[in-house]
Amino acid sequence: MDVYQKLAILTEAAKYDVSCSSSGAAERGGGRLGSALPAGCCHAFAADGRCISLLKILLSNACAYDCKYCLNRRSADFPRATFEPRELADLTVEFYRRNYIEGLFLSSAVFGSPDYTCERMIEVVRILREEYGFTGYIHAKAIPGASDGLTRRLGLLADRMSVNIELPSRESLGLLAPDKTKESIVHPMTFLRNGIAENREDLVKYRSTPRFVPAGQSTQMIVGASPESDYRILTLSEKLYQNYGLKRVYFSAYTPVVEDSLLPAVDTKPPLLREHRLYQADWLLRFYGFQAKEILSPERPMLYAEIDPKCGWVLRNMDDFPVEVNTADYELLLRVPGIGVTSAKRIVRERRQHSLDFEMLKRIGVVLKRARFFLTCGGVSMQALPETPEQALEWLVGPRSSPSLPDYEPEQLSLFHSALLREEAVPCLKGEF
Amino acid sequence: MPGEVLVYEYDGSYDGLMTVVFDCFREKTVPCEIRVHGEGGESFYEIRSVSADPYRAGRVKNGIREKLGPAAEEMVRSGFLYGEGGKEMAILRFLKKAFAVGPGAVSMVADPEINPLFRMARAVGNERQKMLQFIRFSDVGGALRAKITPKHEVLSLLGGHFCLRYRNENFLIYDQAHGEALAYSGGRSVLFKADSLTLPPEAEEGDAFYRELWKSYYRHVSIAERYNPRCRMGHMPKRFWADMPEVAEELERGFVPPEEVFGAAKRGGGYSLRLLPERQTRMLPEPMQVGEPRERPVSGDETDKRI
Repeated sequence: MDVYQKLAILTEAAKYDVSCSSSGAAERGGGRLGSALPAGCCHAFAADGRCISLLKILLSNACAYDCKYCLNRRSADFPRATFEPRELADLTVEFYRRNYIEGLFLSSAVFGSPDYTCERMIEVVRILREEYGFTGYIHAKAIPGASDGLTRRLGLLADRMSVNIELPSRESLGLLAPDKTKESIVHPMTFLRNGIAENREDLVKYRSTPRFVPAGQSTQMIVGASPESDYRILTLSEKLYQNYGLKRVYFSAYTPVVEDSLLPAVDTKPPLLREHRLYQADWLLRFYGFQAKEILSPERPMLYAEIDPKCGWVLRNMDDFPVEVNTADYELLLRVPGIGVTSAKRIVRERRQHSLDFEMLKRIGVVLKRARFFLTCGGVSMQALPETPEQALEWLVGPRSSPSLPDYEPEQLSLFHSALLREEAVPCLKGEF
Repeated sequence: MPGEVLVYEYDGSYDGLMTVVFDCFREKTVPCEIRVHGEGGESFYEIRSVSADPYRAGRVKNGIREKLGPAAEEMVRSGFLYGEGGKEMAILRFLKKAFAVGPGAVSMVADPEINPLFRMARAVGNERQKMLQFIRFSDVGGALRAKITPKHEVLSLLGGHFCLRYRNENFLIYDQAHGEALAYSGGRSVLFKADSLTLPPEAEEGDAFYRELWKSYYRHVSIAERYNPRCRMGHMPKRFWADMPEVAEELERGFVPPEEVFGAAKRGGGYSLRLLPERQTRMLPEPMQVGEPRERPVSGDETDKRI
């Protein structure tokens, strides 16, 4: 089998992994090829609109495990391929030289044993770092079950590592990934967290300490393969950020690739809108100072389909609005729909020089499409302000057949089964969401 | 506001424009246009032709550095690379205002005198970012070469990044839109004007191999169920496609049905991957169902850029 075929098979096998960011890497000195961009860099966008930043590929797809949702599972009738470490290292360098990619995202099915798999991965990264002097970005998957010593060696060579949680609860994991346990996932995460924290201390003491996973760790959850609510997913993400210091939690709309009685039917469409809303909520957690319990609650466990989570929060907290642009705190400005981190910072910087009106807001690039309903400049609003949440909702999304907020509907979950989100109407694990 | 019935002409260089700025300050005038020699037609206005003068230009440049600070200098410098017209007046109006208010001027982007230059500098910065993303090199006998067609003259802003990244390589980037080239070899880089440049032919054996691999990777990594051409075009506008091997073919053919865009297609219920019989064979997967246009599905990494 030549490189061309291996690349095709192992790319297909890796593409459902979401993470592709190349941000947060520190400059490594002493190399011969490559540099880091702190903000990351997307080098292409695939036909599905997803960014291609890294060469995202498996070292092998000959998996020893039999996870139900995974297309590389042992029982699948599927062509298998395994790269030689040197082949993959050469490929990475040649792609990198042509500015096709920002680095390598190396993952692998468990072939042989977890330790053996991890050793082969280390070999790829070692060739890149030591033989090619490659200082570009490398994201390596931690292999659950591999020994700590090996994970540590991998972490010293890579920029970022990740362990995929895959399913957001222990029950789903037991049902769909019988070879994995919560412990086998939590262990490498904890190991990475402690390693990163120790390394940070050591770096303060000794400048020459080799850096361990300098770009931090991330994880991924599949959305829509199992019955967990958005609330559960979001609180889990929040805990991961707080307790494990994760850089990112990725969500992956479940795309059915295998037939199994425990999984959504194969003709189910991936819940893309739900994934999108979850990312919006995730952003609110990380950059907008929101807490998961402000966005969702056990009584209202799903995000709205029609409006983004921030608008949802605003409609429940209409008393805090309108916000006065010239005096409001940065934190409050961030809570106005349509105003993001860039706009809020620009407003704060700008108003030190002079007071702002709506014309000026437009000029500095603040998008007023939604913000205009919730702002005043010097006590004057741009237009009439909504008086009730229903009115605000109508202005935000246009006239609706039913004037009530999704919130007030007795069975708000049914929202996801309406025409709006047919993709969600899937026969799921335990019946309904 | 431009009130005077006056047009300045300069030679198109940065020093030339700085000389014009010096003259405008000395004469206390604001012309209604500043243009490059030979551009624009006849005018009823008085035309003053200015040639670049190192002394006068130097005084303005020093003034910017010392009185307005490095942020303002950078804004003027990158504004000058703007390629869609109007940069000269924007710079002059910015400097008039900025010398009146001091270093705080760069953060007064809502000001009507300052805003145009701010926008231009931002557009140039964005174009530079796009270039860092989408430049594609090909290997010609061990050296790398790339061809770009940017809107703004960003080549000079790319040197730092690529010289660091490919520090042990030899490379050449040719900006065919502005007739400029950047060459790097052995730790030194040169930026030179070159109206036409005969580049070495692209089709080298070894290079074609990796280009084909890359095209195959590009096809295989996308998920058919998430087909979203608008999202792709938003992030990767078509004006860059001609210089990118993975999409150049699609651009040439115009619309390409989605089933041909993807490396693998779904067959019936299960999932199957078709193997390539040989390396160079183009894949033509079977037609597949593609979902209805969705409500702005957005991938996770797209949002990355808003940090």
